[in-house]
Amino acid sequence: MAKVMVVDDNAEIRMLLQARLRQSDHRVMTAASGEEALSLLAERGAPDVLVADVSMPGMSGLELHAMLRADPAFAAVPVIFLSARVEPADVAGGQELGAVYLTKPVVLSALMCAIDAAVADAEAAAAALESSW
Amino acid sequence: MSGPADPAGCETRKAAVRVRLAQIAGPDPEEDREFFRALWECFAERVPEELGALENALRRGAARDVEMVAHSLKGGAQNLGGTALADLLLALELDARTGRLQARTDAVAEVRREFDLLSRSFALVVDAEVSGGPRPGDAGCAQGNAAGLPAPRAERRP
Repeated sequence: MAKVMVVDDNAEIRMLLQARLRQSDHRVMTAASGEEALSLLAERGAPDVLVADVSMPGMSGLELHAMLRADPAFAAVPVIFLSARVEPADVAGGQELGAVYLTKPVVLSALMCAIDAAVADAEAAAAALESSW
Repeated sequence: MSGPADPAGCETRKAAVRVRLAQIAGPDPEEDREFFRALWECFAERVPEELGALENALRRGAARDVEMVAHSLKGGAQNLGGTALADLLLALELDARTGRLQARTDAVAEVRREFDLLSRSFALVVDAEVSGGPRPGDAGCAQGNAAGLPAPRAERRP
C-alpha cells in the first residue's frame, strides 16, 4: 500500500484513479490543480508517489514537479506524469526530468506498475542511504 | 469507416467505448455500471460550460485558450472511449497551436454533434453490456438516450 497523490484538473479522471487505486489498497489524496496540491502537501506531508497531469490551467504538472524538487521536504517524492500530450518531445521532456511519463487515456495496469516501481525504488534508495552509515 | 447499415457510426463509437470500459473495469460488474454512469455524468456536466468557453475563445481568436479547453475535453473524451470526439478535439488543439484557427468557425458545432453521438453510444454500451442486454427500444445511438443515463446539459437546451 502506498500513499498516492493524484493531481488532475479533470474531475472524472480524479474519480477514476481514486476509485481504482483505492481498490488496489492504496491511500489516495486528490487535488484539482498544482496550487491545491502544494497546499495539501504542506498540510499533510509527502506522499509516497505523486501522479500529476501535465497540462492544467494555472500551474502545470511540470511546474509542480519543479516546485517539489526545489523543496527538501518533497524533493525525493517520485513523480509520474499522466498526460494527453503524446508528442515525442513532450514524452522526452517529462522523462528528462527523471519522472515516469504515461500517456492518456490512462492504462490502469501501467499506472499500478509505475506506482509499485516508484515506491520500490524510493525504498531501495532510502535503504541504501541508511546502510551507508 | 461506417457503412450504410451504420449511418451514424454508432457501432464504431460503441466499440471504442466498449474497449475503454474494459480497460477501466473493476472487479464487480454491477458496481461498474453505476461507476461508469457517475464518470459519464461528471464528464457531461462540464462539457456545456467548456464548449461555451471554446466558442468564446474561437470568437476572440484566443489560440492559447482554444488549445487548453480542447486539450482538457480531449482528455475527458479519451478517458471514456470517445475516440472520435478526442480526434476532433486533437485536430482543434493542433490548429490552435499552429495558428490555423481561421477556418474553424464550425468547430464547436462539430464537437457538440460528436458529443451527442458519444453520449448515446456510451449509454447503450453501459446498459447493454454491464446489465446483461439491451432494453426494448435500444435501436441504436441515433434513436436517443435509451439507456436512461442522465442527459448531458448540452442536450437539455430548449
